[in-house]
Amino acid sequence: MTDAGVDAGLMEGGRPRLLPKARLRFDQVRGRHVLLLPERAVILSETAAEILRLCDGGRTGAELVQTLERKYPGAELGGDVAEFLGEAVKKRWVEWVLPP
Amino acid sequence: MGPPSLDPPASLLAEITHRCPIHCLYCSNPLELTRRADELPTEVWLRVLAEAADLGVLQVHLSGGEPLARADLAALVERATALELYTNLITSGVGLTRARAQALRDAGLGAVQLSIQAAGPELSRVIAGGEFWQRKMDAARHVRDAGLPLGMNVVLHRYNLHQVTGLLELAASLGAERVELANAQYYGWALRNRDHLLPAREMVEAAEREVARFRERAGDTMEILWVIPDYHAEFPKPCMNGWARMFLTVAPDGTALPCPAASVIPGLDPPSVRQHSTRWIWFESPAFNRFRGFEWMSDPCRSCPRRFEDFGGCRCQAYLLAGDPAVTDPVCTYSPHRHLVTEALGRGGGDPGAPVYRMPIKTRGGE
Repeated sequence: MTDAGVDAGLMEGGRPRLLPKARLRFDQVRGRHVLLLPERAVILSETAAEILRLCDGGRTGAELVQTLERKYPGAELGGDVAEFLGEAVKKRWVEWVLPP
Repeated sequence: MGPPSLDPPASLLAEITHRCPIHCLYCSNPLELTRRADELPTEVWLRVLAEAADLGVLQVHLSGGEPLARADLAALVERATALELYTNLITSGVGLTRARAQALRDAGLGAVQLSIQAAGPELSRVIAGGEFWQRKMDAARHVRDAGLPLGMNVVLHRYNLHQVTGLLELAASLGAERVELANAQYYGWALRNRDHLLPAREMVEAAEREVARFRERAGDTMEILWVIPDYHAEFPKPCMNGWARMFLTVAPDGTALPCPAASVIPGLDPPSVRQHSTRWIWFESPAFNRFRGFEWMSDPCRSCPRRFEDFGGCRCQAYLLAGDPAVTDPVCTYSPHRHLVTEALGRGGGDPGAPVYRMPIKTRGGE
């Protein structure tokens, strides 16, 4: 599910960034990464945590995919990452920083 | 250790005081409010925060009463932040000056949830029992100016259900990113004033349609949460997501409870953080284990497939309406006590007498 906003974000060289209100950290008790937001705590899968960790506003969506594909050679991650980012934007965990 | 399948609590509801400048007709605090002299001292709250973080708590909701009534609020936020806990301030806004909002942000506060009683000052005065409107509007501005995320929450009932669109427009104009429209739950002062507050079904349905229309118009620029009124529902709410499954409440005097209303349950004998660690309270205490799982249930819950979704509903409501905290929530269509809810709904339109405002507590300091 990639809505128009995500396509635009990817196409226009947007850089995904965690919203300032969201905090990503590792939880020792559960042994998982968690994303903390005003009204909820999301226990993340390893993949989700890896993508979100890279959403720092410093790299484009394409660069994010390249970074992950270097780490997992042979995997084609573009579609999955785009889908995940689409959901993350919809849930207001992540926003696109568009180039000026 | 408790049963191996038992998860740690994700949230701590820290009710740091019952003191509050406003007197809402539906206040969920117990009828017997804790006096200032009986409130936990700062050092105990600091210990509770550390224990909670160690136990697996991820979020702390600082609530009350009005949490701003405590001068050590920023110190508590600072400690929670150092422990990597996400902090939410749940406030009436009264006392939230520009300087205080900035100090709380600097201490690491995550977000603010501001309570609003009505879409305008006149009705707000009636529901909150005083002149607080302008201070609430100012508080919202100070929160946004401090760069903190703002949520707005409104308790809905017969007096304000017709204002739902106005409330949503107000939230948008204040810069709220999330609005919680929560139909009143009938505990504490709300139960006392139930005949005043309980809306007719048509009012609820009209409000629901207004929310849907606003959602269409506004898209997802603002998150809107609509909490259904359980008296009008066919099945009970999964109260607290199950007794002592996710939430740990600590009341102003240190009483630890699976939910803020549970102090009404007779014989519960809830533990206090003054005497026990939060770990013992969560895993071992009889009070927290009393309605965990499904063994305590009787029919119709015991053999009902819905028990895995709603956990039998609310224990406090079962006690308050049917006199037994271990029976099926009387809201449930299968409950032999459902007639108690239906009768309460049928009393609308009669003369309920004068409403009872939540009374301010006298404190030694004479505040």
